[in-house]
Amino acid sequence: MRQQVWQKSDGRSRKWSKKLVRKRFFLNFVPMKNETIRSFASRLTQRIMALLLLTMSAIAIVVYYIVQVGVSDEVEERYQGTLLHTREQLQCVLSDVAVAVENNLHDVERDIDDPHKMYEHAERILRNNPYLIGLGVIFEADYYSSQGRWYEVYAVRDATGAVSVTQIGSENHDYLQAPWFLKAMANETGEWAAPYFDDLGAKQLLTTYFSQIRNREGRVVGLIGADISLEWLRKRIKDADERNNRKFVSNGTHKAYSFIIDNNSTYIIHPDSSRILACNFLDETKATSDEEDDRLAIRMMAGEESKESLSVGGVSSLVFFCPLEYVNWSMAIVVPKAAISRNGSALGLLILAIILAGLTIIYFISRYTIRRTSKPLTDFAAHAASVEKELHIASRIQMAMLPRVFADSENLDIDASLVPAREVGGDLYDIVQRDNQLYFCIGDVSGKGVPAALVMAMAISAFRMLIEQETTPECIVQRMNETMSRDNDYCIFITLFVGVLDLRTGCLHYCNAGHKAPLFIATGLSHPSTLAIEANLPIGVFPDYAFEGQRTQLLPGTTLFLYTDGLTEAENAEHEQFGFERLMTTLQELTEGVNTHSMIHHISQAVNRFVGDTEQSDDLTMLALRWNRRALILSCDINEIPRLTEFVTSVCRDAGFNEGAMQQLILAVEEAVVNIMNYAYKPDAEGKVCLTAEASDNQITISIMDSGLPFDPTLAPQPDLTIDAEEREEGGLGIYMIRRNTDAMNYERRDGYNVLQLIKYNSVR
Amino acid sequence: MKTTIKEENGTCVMSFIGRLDTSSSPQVEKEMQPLYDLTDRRIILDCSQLEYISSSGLRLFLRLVKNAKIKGCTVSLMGLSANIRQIFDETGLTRLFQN
Repeated sequence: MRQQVWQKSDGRSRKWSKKLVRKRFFLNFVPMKNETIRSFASRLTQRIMALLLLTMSAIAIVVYYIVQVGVSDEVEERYQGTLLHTREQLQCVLSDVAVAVENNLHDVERDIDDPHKMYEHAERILRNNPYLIGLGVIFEADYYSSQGRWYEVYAVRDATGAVSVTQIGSENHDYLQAPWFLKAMANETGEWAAPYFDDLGAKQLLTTYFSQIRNREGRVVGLIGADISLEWLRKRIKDADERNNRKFVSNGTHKAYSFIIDNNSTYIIHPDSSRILACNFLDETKATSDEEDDRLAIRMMAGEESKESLSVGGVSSLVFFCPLEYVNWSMAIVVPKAAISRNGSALGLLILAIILAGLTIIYFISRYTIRRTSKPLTDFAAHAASVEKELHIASRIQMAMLPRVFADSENLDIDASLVPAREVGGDLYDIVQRDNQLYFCIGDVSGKGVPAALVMAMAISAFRMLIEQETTPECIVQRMNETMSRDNDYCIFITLFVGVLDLRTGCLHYCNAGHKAPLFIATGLSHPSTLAIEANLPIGVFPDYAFEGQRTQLLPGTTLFLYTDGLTEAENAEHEQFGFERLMTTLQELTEGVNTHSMIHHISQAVNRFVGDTEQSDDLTMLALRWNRRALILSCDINEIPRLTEFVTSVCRDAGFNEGAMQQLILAVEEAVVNIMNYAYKPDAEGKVCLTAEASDNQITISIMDSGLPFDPTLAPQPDLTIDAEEREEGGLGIYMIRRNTDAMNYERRDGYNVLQLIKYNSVR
Repeated sequence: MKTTIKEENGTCVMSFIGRLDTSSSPQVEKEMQPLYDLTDRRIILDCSQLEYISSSGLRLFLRLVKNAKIKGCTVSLMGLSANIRQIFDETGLTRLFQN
């Protein structure tokens, strides 16, 4: 006799309790309304951001790679450009000088006979060519006999740009034996002499273009030597290096540098000025164990143009190189690879940083926007949560309305279960015991949820109140109908079954108001039957409707099963209903005598199995009661009498009856039963006699029931005890003896049964 | 339920031991058959060990008394316990037996 709703352990209740747990958990957060909003917005923002971050990271990696490659290519091109541009410029200068000298050679040769004219020529050529720092017209020994052994007219530009021309050949400046002179005269060194330091003048690196002067016979008699300084070239290369380093190379790393070698691989230009003309590139490369740079030196000397990747002094570098024409030199730029890729990396990182900054801004903007736009939603969620909380409380209140302790009688086994489809529902049941009367009801309010729950609460309180005032179920239903019909504008009706069971006699008095017919399972029968019901109207609609009550007799051990349509109309995923047939089958699966708790549990499980994971669509209520009197069932055979004696004896012994009272009761009962056995049923009819006993306070009530011909022994005439034996009837004594040996005898014809009640006090009459 | 029948000096004594209820009466009825054939004799029903009697039993006694009157026999009861006597008294049967 426990309330099933809170204690069920089947699948549905697990679901139910999980739901409760989840709701409780959720409810705990309800007071922190702003938290909920914040976390919702934050979660959404974070999700968007995570997605953005992922996408942007992929983009960033691609962009980084493209930028890296692109920028590296550009840097390489720039170095290449510097190289080529320097070469162009140098070649331009060299070419200008060569052309200037060659153009004036003819004039010099025309005036070859006048040594003084050489002054004019030297000065003119120098003036017309700003690149030149000096120009000499030099003659072989004793060419002009009037001028002595040496004759070298040399025009020079001083710091102010003024040009002065002097004859510098003398014993002290004996050029005739100088290697450059001899080589140029023999034209062994080509048109450009090897560079050299001007020890006398500007202390700078010079190189000289020589052109041979021929006399009228065509013999080489002298030279025109145009001196150009390579200082501008050194400066230019230095500037370019510095500019590039500023642009591409950060402090602390290896710097890029350029150098020029001549055809012997002697350094002509090098950032380390001490090496110029003093060191030889090929020698240096040969000194290292690495052979790659040796090959590079050779390729450079051979006048190739390319770029080469190799390690220079332990630094992985790119070397761009190209030949310089006219002079047979080769120029190279050595660029550390780190410098090439650094800018790409820097740019890539910059782009990454911009993306990140952009994302951060998007994060804040979107968080703000989402929070603002989702506010109505979160407000609604908070509102829903509070409604949910209230509903949950309402559910607990509603559940508390249902009885927990059902009845306190050893004659009764009763259990009930109510599972609402939503938090609250419109199903109801109630069980109240007053003395020997058990009042019970089951009902279903039309509709579901809160409206139905309100009406349910009203109905259950009306029932509780009315059972205090009314005794018959039809009166209870009648009055409930009047109450519920009052101001029922929404026409919410209730199907209701109200029963009043006499726990002593098993007499069930009931009234059905449009509810499903209860089932009953009689003792010894596995097949359930439907209780005969009047098709009254549901309550709550027509206040004047007259409800009819009905009566039936329950045999001991009979189980009554009441339910709402949530049971038969439970649907599975295929929208199939559990149905009446399945319910009947399920009831038949039960073993005889199983208690009502197990019965409801079994049916619940069957429904849950059928429904599966489908959401419960309607409230589901079951109420099962078994009237379990101390009983004896006899067939119509006088050989059954010893069983009867045994039964009544044990009842009397248990009740502490004295021997005399016991014998009297046995006698009365036997007389009554024998009467039934002999007269109630037609011959060959398989009749039964049922006895139930109830003992209380010095009193035993034996009810004797049979379904035979109606016969009221209380109406039987008194036998005439005064007449003689000859005239006396042999029968007729039995009823008299019943009367004599009991304290009260009642008869009732109830639902096809003769019910004879014998009451005996613990005293001998 | 057990019964015995003894003949002593023209008097026939039938003793009843146990419960004479409806289920045992058919058997007892058969066992009483010899008493129906007696004429002008005294019949004593010894009920000192009779624990219980229902109307079926009473019916047997009543039939015996009716038959005895025709056959000129007298039937008397012996050794009734208080309970049994009360039943006989209440049903007015006591008067039908000879003391």
